Amino acid sequence: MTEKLSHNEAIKTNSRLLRGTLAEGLEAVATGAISEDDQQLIKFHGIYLQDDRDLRPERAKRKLDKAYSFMARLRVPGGVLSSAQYLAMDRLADERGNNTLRLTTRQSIQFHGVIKTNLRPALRQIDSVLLDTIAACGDVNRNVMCTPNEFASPVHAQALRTAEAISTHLLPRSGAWREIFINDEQITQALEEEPIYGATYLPRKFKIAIAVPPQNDVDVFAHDLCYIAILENNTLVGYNVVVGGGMGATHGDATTYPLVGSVIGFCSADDAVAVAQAVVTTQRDFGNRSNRRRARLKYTIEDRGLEWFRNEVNARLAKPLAPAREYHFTGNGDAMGWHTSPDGLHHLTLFIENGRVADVGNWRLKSALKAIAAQDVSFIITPNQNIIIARASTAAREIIEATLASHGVALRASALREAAMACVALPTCALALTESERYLPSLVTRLDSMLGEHGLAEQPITLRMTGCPNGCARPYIAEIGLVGRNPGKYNLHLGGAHDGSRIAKLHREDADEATILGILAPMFADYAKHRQPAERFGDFVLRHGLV
Amino acid sequence: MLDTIGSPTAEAVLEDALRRQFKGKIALVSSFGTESAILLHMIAQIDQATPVIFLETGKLFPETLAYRDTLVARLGLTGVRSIRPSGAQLAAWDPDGRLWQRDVDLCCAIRKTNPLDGALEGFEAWITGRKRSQSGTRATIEMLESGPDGRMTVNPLAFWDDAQIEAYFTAHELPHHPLEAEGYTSIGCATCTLKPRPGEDKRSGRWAGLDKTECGIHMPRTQGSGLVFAGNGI
Repeated sequence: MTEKLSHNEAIKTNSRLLRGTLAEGLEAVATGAISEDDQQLIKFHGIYLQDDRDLRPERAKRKLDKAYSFMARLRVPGGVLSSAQYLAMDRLADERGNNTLRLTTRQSIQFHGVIKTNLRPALRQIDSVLLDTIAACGDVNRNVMCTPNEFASPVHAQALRTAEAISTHLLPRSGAWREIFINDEQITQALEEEPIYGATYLPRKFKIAIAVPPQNDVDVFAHDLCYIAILENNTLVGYNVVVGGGMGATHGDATTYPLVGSVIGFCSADDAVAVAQAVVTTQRDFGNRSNRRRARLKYTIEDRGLEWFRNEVNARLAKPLAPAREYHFTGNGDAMGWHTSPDGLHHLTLFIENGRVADVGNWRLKSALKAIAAQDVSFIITPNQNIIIARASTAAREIIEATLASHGVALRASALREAAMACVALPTCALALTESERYLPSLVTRLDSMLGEHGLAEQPITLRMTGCPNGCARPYIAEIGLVGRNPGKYNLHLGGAHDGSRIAKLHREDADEATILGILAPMFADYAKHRQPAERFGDFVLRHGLV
Repeated sequence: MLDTIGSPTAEAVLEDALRRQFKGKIALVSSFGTESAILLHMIAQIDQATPVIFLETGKLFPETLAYRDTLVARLGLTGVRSIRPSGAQLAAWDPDGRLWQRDVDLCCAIRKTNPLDGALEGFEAWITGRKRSQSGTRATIEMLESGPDGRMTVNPLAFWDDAQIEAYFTAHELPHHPLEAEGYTSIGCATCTLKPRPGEDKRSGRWAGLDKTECGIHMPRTQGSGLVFAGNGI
């Protein structure tokens, strides 16, 4: 009956609440890496060990060790940063990273290329502006997402307060992060209590998001636990609770697959944190700790049934979930461009291709944002890897526009490009099988010209690419999803819903670019001719049996 | 306003200091301790971007850091900076993290006074939450004083008593420091803070058992710190 526990469980058990030998490993100067077990533990602290895969062949030839560096990822619920915090992150990228910031699909910022000796200084810089990287990866609740923008609407501000409260409540109580990376010493000798997680934390990663309709920008059907804000008379009364979504899968393992979550009920806004604890502890107690591929909440629910799960969660709540309320989503993209809130302040959702903030030639986005941070504004990272420059006065708005123009940065892009999203993949991600961030822009250019020929240039179609099947850019619910399989080849998924509520179908395995274009060209032609008014591409290809 | 005879309100003193007398040249130094929420709330009403200096000594209670984050989010403060001791000074004087057991004054100097002096570079004045009611050494402070470091200090709550403090928390629905419920009344580093015994003053749990009542950030900068600065070059 009881299967052997996975090795990660032993690592957690023996880690003294996530400490392991990380402190010693960071001191070791002979290697830029850390031990394999510590590589698992350091994820709980928001950090991955990576290496530059572009350099592997050359370094192997010269019998050199891999070019190791670390990636660190912020915990920043809802993606909201003050301008002072943004400036500190900009400086950090230059001083300790690879001169770029990477906005992520979970509204965070990643720093790549942080070498071992820079890791502690980098985290101290992060701590100095009251940010941290705790639990941004690992078998714990990760960065909590929330539909922006709190500065434009009281309801969005309320939702963000819920996201922050959940993030705080589910934060590991272990002081390991501060001890290892910030203070370099233990404050007290006694180990902390982990009242929610226990000493072995969760079986696998755990993802939470909150959406405020009509936007489903956070993709509530793609995470372990989600909340859909329910509004009455423009007031937030509570949330529908969605459980059991998840993107990750493994090529060639038929027991793994992406799933969309199910709505299991409604809770008041005050009960949202209690619901999070009930769902998380249910997964803690019943999740699969033997097979990590089957350890996400979606499989726990599939194996035991949604009714069982609802009952188990209700048993842990003082007030059981109420029947779900009505809601309506229009799409899972961002509201791009300028918006003005009733208080007269302006908010710009600025397009950032694949979330990469950098200076390249005459396109100097990073410098532009740094200059803009001198204004009294806030920055919000969106779930689609764009950035909102929020709270701008009319005078600041003019300065922002002029600054972007003088740095060669356009505010908007084509409809397809704005609805496209790629994960990082090569050269830094250890899991990547193919290119993603470095390749998608050129594919979009080709698809854009095809769409233009059919008069579809204004038609937003969600297009998402990942370099492996783990699904960081949530490709399986896109209208066009491309999942990396072999160098230059992708599994093509079609027919996801424009609002992210339906899994796309696998249409072709191992497609190279010519194959992808060859499949999509006639579909675009059909779509242009035969679609019904307002019919989305994902719905159209299903209705016409094209997939 | 500051030279008005009588007692200007704490809010008026703060507003005058932030908007006029020391505009752009003043920071609040906050421990995010038991009574800190009051001044943090007051400055948030005037300017959420006011610089706030938080001395993260490396020995604080985790509850203090959590409370800091709660208040920052609740009040929308955007100018809070967490200041750490210099790595060179720690390496030189406290390599094993146990200096507090050997030389508590030196520990306070490298973990609080010296980092504060560095963080106040460029400022002309700082705001403190000190109150006459806190303990003997603070019984004679004024709302505006020439500070221990050559800068001016503004002490808006100098004349506040416990009833006023509690009333302010209630009126503005401010959260209390999580350790207050356990009986702590003044909170510094976890290594050197105890709960006061019944009947003793609020700060009596600080460096309890030692002939020490102040960490030193409010004491004149004189000899002693010179010794520590000699360690800067290491």
